[in-house]
This record gives sequence, structure tokens and C-alpha cells, in this order.
Amino acid sequence: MAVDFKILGWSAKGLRCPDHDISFEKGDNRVHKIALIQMPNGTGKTTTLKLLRAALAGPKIWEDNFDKPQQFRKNKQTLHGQFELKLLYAKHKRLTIVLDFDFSNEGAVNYITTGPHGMDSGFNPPVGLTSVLKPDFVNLLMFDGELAANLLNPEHTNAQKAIEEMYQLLFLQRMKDRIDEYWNTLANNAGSKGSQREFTQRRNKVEALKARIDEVKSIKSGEEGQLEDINKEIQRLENEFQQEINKSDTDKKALADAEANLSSTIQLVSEKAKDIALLMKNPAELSASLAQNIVFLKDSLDKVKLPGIAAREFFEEIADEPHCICGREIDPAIQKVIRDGAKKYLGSEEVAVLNAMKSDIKDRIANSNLSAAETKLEQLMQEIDGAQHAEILARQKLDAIKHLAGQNDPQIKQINERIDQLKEQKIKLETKIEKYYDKTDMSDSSWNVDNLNEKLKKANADLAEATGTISQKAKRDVLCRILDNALIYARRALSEDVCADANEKIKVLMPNNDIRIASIDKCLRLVEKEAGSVGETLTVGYAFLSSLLSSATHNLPSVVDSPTGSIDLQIRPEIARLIPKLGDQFIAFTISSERDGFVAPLSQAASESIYFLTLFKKGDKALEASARSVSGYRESEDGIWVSGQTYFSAFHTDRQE
Amino acid sequence: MAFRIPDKAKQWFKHIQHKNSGFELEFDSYYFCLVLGISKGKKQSLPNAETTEFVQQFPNEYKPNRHLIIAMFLNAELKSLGISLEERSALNKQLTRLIDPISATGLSEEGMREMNRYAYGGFRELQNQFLEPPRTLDGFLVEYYQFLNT
Repeated sequence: MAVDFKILGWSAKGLRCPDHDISFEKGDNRVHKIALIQMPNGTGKTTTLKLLRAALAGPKIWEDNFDKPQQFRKNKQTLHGQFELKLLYAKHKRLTIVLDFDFSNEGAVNYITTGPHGMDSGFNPPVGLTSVLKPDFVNLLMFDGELAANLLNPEHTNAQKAIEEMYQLLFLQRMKDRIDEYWNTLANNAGSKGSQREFTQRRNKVEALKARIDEVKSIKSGEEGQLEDINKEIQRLENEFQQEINKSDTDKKALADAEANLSSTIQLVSEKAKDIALLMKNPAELSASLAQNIVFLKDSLDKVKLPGIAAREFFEEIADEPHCICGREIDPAIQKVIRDGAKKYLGSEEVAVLNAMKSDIKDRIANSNLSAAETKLEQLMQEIDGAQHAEILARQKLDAIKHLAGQNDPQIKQINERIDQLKEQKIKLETKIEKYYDKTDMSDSSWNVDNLNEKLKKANADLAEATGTISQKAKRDVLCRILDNALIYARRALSEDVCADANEKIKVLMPNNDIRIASIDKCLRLVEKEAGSVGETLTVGYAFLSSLLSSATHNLPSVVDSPTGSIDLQIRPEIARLIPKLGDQFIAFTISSERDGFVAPLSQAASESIYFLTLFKKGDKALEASARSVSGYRESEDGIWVSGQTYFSAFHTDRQE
Repeated sequence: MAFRIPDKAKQWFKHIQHKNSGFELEFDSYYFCLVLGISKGKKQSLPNAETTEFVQQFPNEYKPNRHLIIAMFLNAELKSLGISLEERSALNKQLTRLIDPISATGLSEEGMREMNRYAYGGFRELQNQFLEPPRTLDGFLVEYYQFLNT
């Protein structure tokens, strides 16, 4: 996006230059394209240029290797100073940046920005200007001999960065940042960073879980098959045993009696267990101590009258009434007391719950014989003990009959032994098989297929996310590579263009000098030399800046301190002809000695008349008188400024600092 | 909040849970754990991920005893908080906190949370007492009764 702004003017007060107020406005939102401000040495050209830099670059410039606020102080008596810069942007919008200097203590600078939306404290330029109103970029617009020298010094400047900023190549990096931002959000939401390693890990987990499920199913099926076989074999052997026993009526009857006896003892134990379990479901019958605690709670509630006769709602209703039942008026203060007091009472529903509980306790325990309940359970415990004992005896008897039967018949003995072996195996196997039904083990090595399937489902979802983010990552990588390549290509192409254009200009400016720019890296690199003379350096700098500023689509002002400085007289006309190409607005601070060989060719090259201004410090009475004789002169406490070419050309005061 | 039982407890009781045995509900497992936790004054917190919500209210079989169970819990909880049953206002405050007449159990969320913690604590006690999960209901009930009264 093209950036467009002009300097409408500025004013300074209380600073290390005469107090002054300059305007370049021509009306209708137009400014003088070229303005030459003649200021004798010691008047504050450098100070004014620095103030312009500080105003345009914002507070960040003070963090770098810039002057301290106190260095701008007019004198020791000055406590406060102000520099106000007025800008025009987007053709018709106005922006004022004020630097408010506080010289007390160490000194401080406060920024105030006034734009179309009103005044803000701080440096708040509109979004459209933020890409150029920053220290590095502003330094390119505020040109002097120092900058020209710095353009050839990699430690001071970054010409390549200037090109990137001028042509907004930083947007390519910003696009990369946005893509990264989008990608990170996507990856975070998916819980995956999309790396191949992560994908492999997730895929391996899925594979491992599938393998584990297959393994568990296979082992489980094998063991359950074994159990089934054992059961069948036991059943078969028991039938065989029965057939063998049946051969002897005595044994047959003894066995049948023993089995019936065992069955009835088992039945009895079950019935007693059921009775006990049902009895135990009443805590008061389960334990006398629990019953006492329950009754103790009820008695305690009774003692402290909980729940009370009145419920919370009763008092809340009284608080809502204008008068108490005693006839006294209920004002807001009393109302609050009643409401606070009501909180101490339970609500009617809570009261109902507690009353039901107390009533139940009274009916079920308090009025009953607690020791009788305990005795009942004790009795059942004794009975089940007897039943369990009878069951044990019945089992022993059955085993003894089987054993006795086997003693007389080796085949029965063999069957019995085999059944015993199989039953032992069966118990072991059943214990082993339990693990397949243990749902508490949620690890990847669980033996529960349901749990493993749950884990597989989650692992598959994780893998799907990783797969999804991987494809997104591939797209991001392609886009980033395109942007990286675009940046490299654009940087190279633009540098070569600016370089070629600047060299053409140098050829015109210094036809008899073979100094040329070889390449633009961090700084301008000259062909076969590291530096030129002061004049050569300034000329090369002009050529570079005019190529840079005229090639881009921006419309920006350039402010130059001593435009011809150390440049030879014969080169000055060429520089003058180059200046109109430096941008849409050119402002130069000059001294009288720079006029020769510069002003006339500049006037010829300019597309419109030049604005001339002469500004000097008060002190020389003759000079002051001559200025005051010119119509339209203006003055402040310590300075006089006169517009017009006639006074500009006739001004000869040239005090060296 | 509902009644919650540790997942491991479901597994632990599975051999003795049979139809028509007098011990067939999941609430039976919960109740026996709860009584033990309250009797031994043991509470334990477990993350929800390790427990299962199994019923929202007292099952029919326990409804006649629900007030006794609540009273048993309230007494234990008030005791654990160091509330004297003679301090009317402190008692009133805690009862308001633990009781919710609108809930299906009659206990507030906080009350249910605390009651579940007693059940978790009771299950831990069972695990410590029994060397392995019980195989027969009669064996379990006899040992449980003995342990409760020690």
C-alpha cells in the first residue's frame, strides 16, 4: 500500500534553535515542493533536523543512540520546550505530533498526537503511516552528510533493509507470521504439532494396541477354550465316575445321600446369608453402636430444638409486612434485623426432611429394643456359623465316600484323582481368566479387551488428528517456501534495480569519476573501493536515495541538511537537477555558501517555484534591522525569519560555529 | 450429585453379587463400604475418573432405611467437623449445608460428595482387611461383621 504524507510545517519553542514557526502550506492541501531554509551555522539546523527525526520516528528513537532530552534545552533557565510538527496525509487528512520537553531533573519527552479522531497522549500515528514512521525509515528521509557516510558503513546502516521497508517486503514476513499463527492454532486445537515423529509415535501406538488386542483375544480364547475343555472333561469323568459308582448299590446310595446332604447345607448357608444381608441393610440392626449414634443425633436435635417450630419463611413473611403482629411498624432497619435473624432458621422443606428423619428414628429405633436387634443378628451369625460348619462336614463326607469308593476300584480311584487334578487346574485357570474382566486396568497392557478397544478408539482419533495436521503442515511448508523464495527474489531484483538506477545517476552526476555501486548488501558496496571522498560519498548517497525514493510508489518528503556541503562546485548543478526527483517534497537546510552553483539550476529543474526562507538568531542589530525592512518578516523572542528569494540571496551572514 | 462407587469396588464385589442372594445391587456394595467408612471414620477422595455414578437415589430396597442412613452419615460428618451437637447455630448451619430437600437423596451436592468419600474410605478398609476379593457371600458377611465390631 502506497504511503503518502507531506510536512505542512513546524514550530519550536524553548529549544536549542530560535523559537520559530514555519509553514510550507500553499492552500488547498498543497505544499511547496521544494523549500530551502537558510540558517547560518550555529542557528540550530542540526537541532531542527533531529527534532524532525524524533517527531516522525516516535519515542522509540530515544531508546537508541540518540541525543538526550536535555541536549535540546535552550538554556539553563528553560524548564519547558515544545516542538510541533504538522503533517498532511492521505491527500487531505491532518496529523499533528507534539514533542513536549520537560527539562526538570534528567529531562523527559512526552508525545501528543492529534489526528482526525482527536487528541491522544502518546505517539499514535494512523495505521497507514506506521510502516514508515519508525526510526530506521525516518533516518532515510532526514538526509545529511552523516547518513551518506553511514550508507557505506555496514555498522551504521542497513541499505538492504531500507529497500525492504520502502517496498514493503516485510509484508511477506508478516504473511509467514500469520500462516504460522493459523497453523499453531490449528495444531494446538488438534493437540498435534504435525511432526513426522509424532505421527509415527501415534501410528505405532495404534498398531501396538491392535496387536495387544489380538494377543489378548488369542490368549483369552485359548484359556477359555482350555477351561471349557476342563469343564467338559470333569463332567465326562464325573459321569464316568457316577456310572462306576452305580455299579455298586451301596456306594450309589451313600454318594447320593452325601450329595443331597451337601446340597441342603449349601442351601441353608445361602438362606442364612440372605437373612443376614437383608438385616444388615438396616444400619441400626447391623451395629448397636451405629444405632446409638443415630438416636444420639435425634436426641441432640430435639435438645437444641432443631428443626424449630417456625421455619425461615415465617420470619421472611413477617419482614415483608408493613407492621408486626404486635402492631409495631416494620421499618427497613427492623426488616433487615428480621431477615438476618431468619437465616438462622431452616427452610420449611429442610424442616420437613429433618422431621421425617427424626420421626423415622423415633419409630424405627428409639422405641425399639436395640439389644434385641443386635441379638437377632448375633443369633443369625451363630446359625450361619453352624450351617457353614455343616457344609464343610458334608463336603468332607462326600469326599470320603468318593475316596472309599476308589479304594475298592482302581479305575474309580484313577477317575477321582484325575477329577481332583482337573479341578485344581480349573481354579488356577479361572483365576487367570479373571484378569480379562478387570475393567480397572486402563493401561496399554490391560487384559480387558473393552478397555483396550476404548484406548484404540482414542489412539485412532489422535492418529487422525495427526494425519490431518500433517497435511495442513505440508501446505504451510509449501506456502512458507514460496514466501521465502519470493522475499529472496524480490530483495535481489529490487537491489539490482535500485543499484543500476543509482549508478546511472552517479554517471550523470560525476561523468569523469568511475565510482559506482557494486551491490547493495547491508550497506552500499562500491566497486573496488571501500569509501570515497566526502563529496563522492554524498553524491553516491543522493543517487541511491533518489533511486530508492523515486522508484517506489510512496509519496514522501525528504529533508536534507547542507545539500551540497562538501560537493565540488561543478557537481552541484547536477545534484540540484537530481533533487526534484528525491520525492514529492524536498526541504533543505542551507548556509549562504551553498547557494553558488545550486540555487539557479535547482530553480530551473523544479517544476514550480521554490519556497525560500531565511532564519537567524537575534543579536546582530544591523541584520535584524535589514530583516525588519522586508515585508512579511516574522520574529520571536530570539529569532527572525524572512521568506522570499531576494532576502535569501542577499543574506551574507555566515558565522562559523 | 449421585451415588458413586470406585471402579475397583465393582470388580472386587463381583463374585458375591448374585440374584436373589440378598446382595445383588450395586448399592449393596456401596452401602457396605459406606457403613465401614463411617464406623471406622475413614474418608477418601477419588477422582471421578476412577469412580462410576450408578444410581441417583436410594433404591427401593433401601428406601425404608434411607433416613437412618442419612442420620448415620450426618452424625459422622458433624463429628468429623468437630461440631458439638449442643451448638444450635453451628448445627443449623451445617445441616443447611448438607441437606437439600429438593434433591432425590435429601442430601445436597456437598452432602453427597462427603457421603461418597466415606464409601471410598470404607472400600479402602475392606481391601486392607480382606487379603483377596471375597468368593462367597456368607464368608464375606461373617468377616465383615467381625471387622465392623473390632
